[in-house]
Amino acid sequence: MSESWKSWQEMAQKEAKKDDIEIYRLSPESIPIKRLYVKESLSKEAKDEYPGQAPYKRGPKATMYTGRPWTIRQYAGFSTAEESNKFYKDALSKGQKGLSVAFDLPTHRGYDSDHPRVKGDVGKAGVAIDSVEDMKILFSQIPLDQMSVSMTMNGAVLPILASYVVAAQEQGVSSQKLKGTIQNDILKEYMVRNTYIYPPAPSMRIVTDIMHYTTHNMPLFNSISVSGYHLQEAGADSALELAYTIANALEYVRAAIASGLKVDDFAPRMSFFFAIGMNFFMEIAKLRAARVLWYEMMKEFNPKNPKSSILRTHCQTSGYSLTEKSPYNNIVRTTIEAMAGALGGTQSLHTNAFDEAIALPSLESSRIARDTQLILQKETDINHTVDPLGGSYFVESLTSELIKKAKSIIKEIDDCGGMVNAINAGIPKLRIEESSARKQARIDGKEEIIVGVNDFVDAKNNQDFFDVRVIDNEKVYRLQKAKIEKLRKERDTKRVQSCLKKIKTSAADKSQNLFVTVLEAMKARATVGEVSETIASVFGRYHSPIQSISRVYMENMSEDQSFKKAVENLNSFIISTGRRPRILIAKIGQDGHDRGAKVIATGLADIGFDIDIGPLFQTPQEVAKQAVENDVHMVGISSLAAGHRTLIPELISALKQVKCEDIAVSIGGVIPQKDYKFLLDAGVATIFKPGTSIPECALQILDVLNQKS
Amino acid sequence: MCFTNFRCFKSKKLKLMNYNETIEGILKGSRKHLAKAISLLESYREDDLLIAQNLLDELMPSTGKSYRIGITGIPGVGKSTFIEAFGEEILKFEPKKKIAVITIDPSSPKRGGSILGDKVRMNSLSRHENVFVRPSPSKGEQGGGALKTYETCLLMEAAGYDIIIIETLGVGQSEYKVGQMVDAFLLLHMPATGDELQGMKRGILELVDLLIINKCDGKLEHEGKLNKKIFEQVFHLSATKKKWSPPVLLASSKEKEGVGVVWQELKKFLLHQKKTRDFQKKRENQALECFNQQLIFKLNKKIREKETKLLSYEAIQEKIKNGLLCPSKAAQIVLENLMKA
Ligand code: B12
Ligand SMILES: Nc1nc2c(ncn2[C@@H]2O[C@H](COP(=O)(O)OP(=O)(O)OP(=O)(O)O)[C@@H](O)[C@H]2O)c(=O)[nH]1
Ligand SMILES: [Mg+2]
Repeated sequence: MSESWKSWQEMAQKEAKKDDIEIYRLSPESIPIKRLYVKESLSKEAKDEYPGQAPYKRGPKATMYTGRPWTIRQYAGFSTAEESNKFYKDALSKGQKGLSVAFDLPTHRGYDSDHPRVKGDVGKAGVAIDSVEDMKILFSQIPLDQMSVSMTMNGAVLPILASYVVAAQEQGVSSQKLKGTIQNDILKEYMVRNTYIYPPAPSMRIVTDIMHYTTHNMPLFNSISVSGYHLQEAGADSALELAYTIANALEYVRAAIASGLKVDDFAPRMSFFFAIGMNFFMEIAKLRAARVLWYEMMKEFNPKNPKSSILRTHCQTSGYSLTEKSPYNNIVRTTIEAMAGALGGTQSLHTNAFDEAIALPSLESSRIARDTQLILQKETDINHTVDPLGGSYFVESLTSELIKKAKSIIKEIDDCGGMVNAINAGIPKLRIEESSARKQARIDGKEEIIVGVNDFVDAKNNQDFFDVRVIDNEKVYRLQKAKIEKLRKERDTKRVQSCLKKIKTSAADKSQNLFVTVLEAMKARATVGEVSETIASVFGRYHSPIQSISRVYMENMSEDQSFKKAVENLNSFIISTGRRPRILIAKIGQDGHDRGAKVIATGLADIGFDIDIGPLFQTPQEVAKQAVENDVHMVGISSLAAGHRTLIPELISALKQVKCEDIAVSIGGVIPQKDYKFLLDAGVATIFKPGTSIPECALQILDVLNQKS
Repeated sequence: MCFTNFRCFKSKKLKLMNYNETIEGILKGSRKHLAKAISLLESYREDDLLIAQNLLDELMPSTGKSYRIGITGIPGVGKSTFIEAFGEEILKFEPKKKIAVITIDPSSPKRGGSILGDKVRMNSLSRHENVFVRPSPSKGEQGGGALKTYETCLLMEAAGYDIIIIETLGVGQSEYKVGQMVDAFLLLHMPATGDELQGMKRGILELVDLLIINKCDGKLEHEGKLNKKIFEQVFHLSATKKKWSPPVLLASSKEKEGVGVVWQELKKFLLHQKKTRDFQKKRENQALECFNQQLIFKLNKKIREKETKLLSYEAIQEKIKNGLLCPSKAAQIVLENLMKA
């Protein structure tokens, strides 16, 4: 080491008043972050690298944004196809470049809007699409031969992609011309996103059936978007996100090859999707590391076309990092994240709106989100130079560290015999939940500061200053129901029946392509629900086992004052009532956001509660039955997908019906302030807002229970 | 930050609900009342336990009319998945039957709360109108975990459940205890290599009435068939001692295959037991055993309470530890003290 290094160390020791000066902190990925990186920090083999050249660390293209800036692609969709269409056209007229469709949860899970299990969810968290007719409305007056359209669809991917193809055909656009992306990434659904329909094995076949079809008929369309985004949002740190995404992608490549495709036929049309959180440099390094990893890992398959091993990606800023409290702060957070995405070299980007933790974005909040990207592109010099951070000692070192870390995680998955096996054994889900529990503990213990949430809290927290999007679920339900009834009356029922029969045969026969038969059915005006039910009659519906972790939260919190106080209060509750407080943490409806429910469950159990966890997708009546049988003190509903106005009153009346109104009902998650009164009037005991620490939740629950007994 | 609504709790002390109402409720099969009564049994408080005891006593005439089935096996062998398939199978043939399930997880931490996620693997069974599923929380700190399970069975019988299934983890001693309080004891086993079979606990095989090799699907199917032969030999060798030679059955709970056969075989076993009157004898012994254990448990508790007041119980223990007092003499002293008091 040089003289300058030594004298820097001496000076630094004095300034920081610490002996061990080198490591500043351990990142969430357990990567040691040093105070200073110098030339020697780079690996000896480091050589000159160029964008557009293997291993593509500096970018997939030679000119990057100096050739063409990244695509501004905002994810949106709500209510009916009519409403969403209006919104899309407006956004396109104001600088947005591509579309990205958000479907509602019934559609994701393969139910028609009139299915009895989904009433509270129709049109709430995305747009309701029941048939080709809805799809045609969604894109009316949007020329599909010119517009690139991305669709987040995984569970019901067959009928949805088919509807899109038919809608385009009926617009006069052949499938050969369609540009865009279908997410079609089922593996991460089992890990975190929870909009699966069928079990893993037949679902993997659906993935490859789609890859076959797009390869031969939709050459400009990305057949899959392998998504790490959801993993990070569910709690994965950047290394886990990176490693599992690449491992999933490799699993798809293997499956596609096993199904008879050649690597160069489909790999150039694989795309990726990552989250960009608040760890600015880590996220930049992650995108660079991802490109290198993909290039290296693809060697296994001997591609001849260089495009097969070039990773192209979409990115979205992190919704998890956005807060319900002091929501304007979110604009700043999103800007920082968007910058990291650009500096990492993303191909397209979604920026979140400041009302992220309150409701679907309003017109105004989505404008600001979109303008954030326009400002970066038009007003700054970010896209005047390719990979501006290339060669930075720090960023280059982090990139190498992440590659190393990710490789070791990928190896763990390989040792299980690939991702499908690892998922069946529940490994990735548990790792992510552990990571999420640790994050929660760092925040609750104030080791990580979130401005306006666990420090520097602004007393006034009022949502009256801006509009919040409201969706009239009853109305959407009525409209969708009417449209389905009309469709059923007007279509050729015999033809639909015979198409559904063919789907059944082709589901049972692996040598057929399921997508082809589904395409015929959608053309004949079968509904998304009918097609999905028919396939489910052969494949079955998948039920995910719930695993749980314990002690992770406690290990990081046991010295915390509020944690200790909660344990103390809990113990006196046991002494006075003779029982541990027992809480059923449940999810109702099609809402698959389980991060909050899981972390609350594990945290409360660590404090000393007995916790029952309900399975996903319950009806209010099923939750009530479980609550009664387990004689719980409280049902705690975690609601994030806006079904609460319908589902909570139903739960309360289901409990009343069996004379169990002594079981308290509480709710946490994404609840707009103007719904508080409605919920409290309906009989809800407590509303827990995003950002509430777990010991705070515990104390509040105990207060409620003490009042009762 | 949270918003709380205290208006919605008008009625206080709901826990001490009406005693007679509870009895009537249980006899009528009310879920709510059965659930509350089980909670009383689980209570840490003496007064609750006394109420529970009286309740049970009054309900005794309505108990006894079920089949009590214990299911054990190592963690992850597929007990919950099996119960889901098994319960549905029973209801398919006998749709009027009422089934109750108790799950016990002795591995949950002694102190602190636990997460009870078992129901999740009995997703569709637990939704069924005729089914009642109750996971028991950690029992480490309460005395007599197995006794509570026995009494919970009685409550469930009074509420009209015909078949009671107890899932217990095959670790520690709890499986033996459960084995000793049911009419039929099923062991779930996973297809394993010869070496792994060598390592398994043999003792439990003595208690087993039916052995099921689960997960006989996919890669493990072949292994399962080999295992079946080995187990059949083991049971054959010891068959002379027992009147019933436990059948070894192959099943896949996940694919719901072979589960119907288990029900048929189980019924054969129970009939066989009834015919030989072993069924009745077993139950009589179990009731007496329960009485004995309760007596010891209660006595122990009493002694401790009294002794801590009179002589220091701790001091006696200290002396025993240091070899200054003979254990049997010490017990004698304590007992005499108790009688005097
Ligand atoms: C993470 C996330 C995801 C992840 C979910 C991963 C997972 N497995 O959970 C992913 C990326 C997969 C995802 C997907 C989708 N999401 Co999302 N997602 C979020 C996000 C960004 C954060 C939620 C979160 O986990 N926060 C962290 C946890 C710890 O906080 P929490 O759940 O709020 O819980 C805290 C408190 O509320 C409280 N609490 C909560 N529940 C309970 C219960 C009890 C008993 C107690 C005591 C306390 C308590 O305690 C916790 C600790 O403080 C929110 C926006 C936001 N910032 O809130 C959007 C959001 C919930 N998502 C949304 C949507 C629309 C979707 C999709 C439906 C999009 C689509 N159309 O495809 C999909 C589908 C998901 C599905 N299957 O349901 C919308 C919902 C809109 C609405 N409510 O009106 C939101 C609000 C974003 C937005 N504004 O558009 N999402
Ligand atoms: N392949 C296969 N998997 C099964 C079968 N039965 C259960 N499983 C799987 O084994 C895992 C454990 O199943 P459970 O039913 O929870 O096992 P358990 O014995 O109740 O587990 P614990 O209660 O945790 O001890 C789950 O992932 C099941 O899907 C089977 O017959 N075949
Ligand atoms: Mg189990």
